[in-house]
Amino acid sequence: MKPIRWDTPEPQALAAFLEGELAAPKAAAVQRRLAESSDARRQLEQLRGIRAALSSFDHEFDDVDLLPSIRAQIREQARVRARPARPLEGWIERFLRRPAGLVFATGALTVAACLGFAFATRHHSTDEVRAKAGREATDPARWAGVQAYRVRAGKPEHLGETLAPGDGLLFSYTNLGQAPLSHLMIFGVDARGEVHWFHPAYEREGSNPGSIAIAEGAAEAPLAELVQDDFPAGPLTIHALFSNRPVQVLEVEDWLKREPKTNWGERIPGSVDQVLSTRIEP
Amino acid sequence: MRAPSISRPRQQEDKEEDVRDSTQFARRSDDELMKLAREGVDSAFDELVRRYQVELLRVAARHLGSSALAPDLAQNTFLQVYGALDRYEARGTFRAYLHRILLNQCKMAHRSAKISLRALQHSEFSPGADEPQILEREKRRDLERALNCLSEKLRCVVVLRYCGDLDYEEIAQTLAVPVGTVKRRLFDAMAKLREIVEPG
Repeated sequence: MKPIRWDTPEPQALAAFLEGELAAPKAAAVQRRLAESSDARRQLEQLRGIRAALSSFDHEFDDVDLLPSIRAQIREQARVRARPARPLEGWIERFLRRPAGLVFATGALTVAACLGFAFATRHHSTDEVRAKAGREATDPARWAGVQAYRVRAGKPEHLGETLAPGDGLLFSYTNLGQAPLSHLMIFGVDARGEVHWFHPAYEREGSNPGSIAIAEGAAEAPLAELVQDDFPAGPLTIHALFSNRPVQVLEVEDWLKREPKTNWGERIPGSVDQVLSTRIEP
Repeated sequence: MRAPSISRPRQQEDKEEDVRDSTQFARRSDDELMKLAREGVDSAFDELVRRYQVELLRVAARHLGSSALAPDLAQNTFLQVYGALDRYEARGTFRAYLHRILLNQCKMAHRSAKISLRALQHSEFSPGADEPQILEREKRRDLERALNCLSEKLRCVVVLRYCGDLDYEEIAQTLAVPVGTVKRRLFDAMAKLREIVEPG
């Protein structure tokens, strides 16, 4: 490679000088040359002008907002990719293959592709007691819901009538419609009346986590954690509480203590409480 | 029915405890936002778009020599990032990752004769411009033509540095070359641009 000459600065040396990238002795040599040579000074000014012109945009992009078109493209791609087949099991199985199930199995785009399946399989979830079909199109309850999966020996199945000790639970959620909701919490109440928190996680005494933020327009969006707990034998009632504001864990626990059969719609206006019932095997 | 007591289930992470609304996203790192986006928090991805869209538009416009095509390429770049959310590895180099995708988009656009034609059709001629604006525009056109005379390697470096405002390290990550190579290319590019724009 041809070396840069510092005593009679070539344009490369001047560009390096302009960038402040020359070591002190070399910079001093260039400065001496600049003091002597009007041609070198002219070249430096030309380089300075080019640099300024490259950086100048006259605010031409300041008002551009790509977000609406990007969102529209993402929705369109999700719609096009929607299939009536059963791709949903794909994300669960990929999730379970990851070490300790810590990482999401799939991106949101793939998940959104499950839109068609979300409703095609709803009737299989016999334990979902909230009928959706008869609701108004504008009713958020028609468009918001969770899907629950039982994971036994690494094999996922839609949550059915029973859950064995040692089984794990996975959830995904759907949040569509004209007025999607913004937050979700999922918890279970066991046969002894104990509350088990699934989402948000609630492990530290003294903390008071809130509902998780959820994506608008999501279909079968997976929630990352594989939940395992020691449930006593007997019925387990799982609540998926969708709301338009974050609800705190202690708030919910307080209401449950005072009123075990809390009417969540009255407590949190606009909320949707989906109830799933299963039974823990002895 | 007796009042419920509380138990603490085993869960591995409490990921979204602090995510209450999108205004908090502005303080989060790129990698944190990517992680949240992967978990289905679309607002996190929106924040990344807001954070980098102007930068990508500028780099694309200078790289292609046309502002008209820049929005398409920047949008495609974000869509590609979104489509690869689950494959993104957080290493603190999101900006370089983003620009790597954009540069690939730009290279493909350069290769496409159709897009060149489209760029021509969308030339930024505005009849109402006054003389200083016209002169400024002419100067910019000269510079864009000069940029197009550079090799791909030199053009990428100069555009990332001065239009995207990336530092040497970020450019090195984007192009997968050593920092010294980035500097050498930058100084060579500037020298060549000067020769083209200001001959003599």
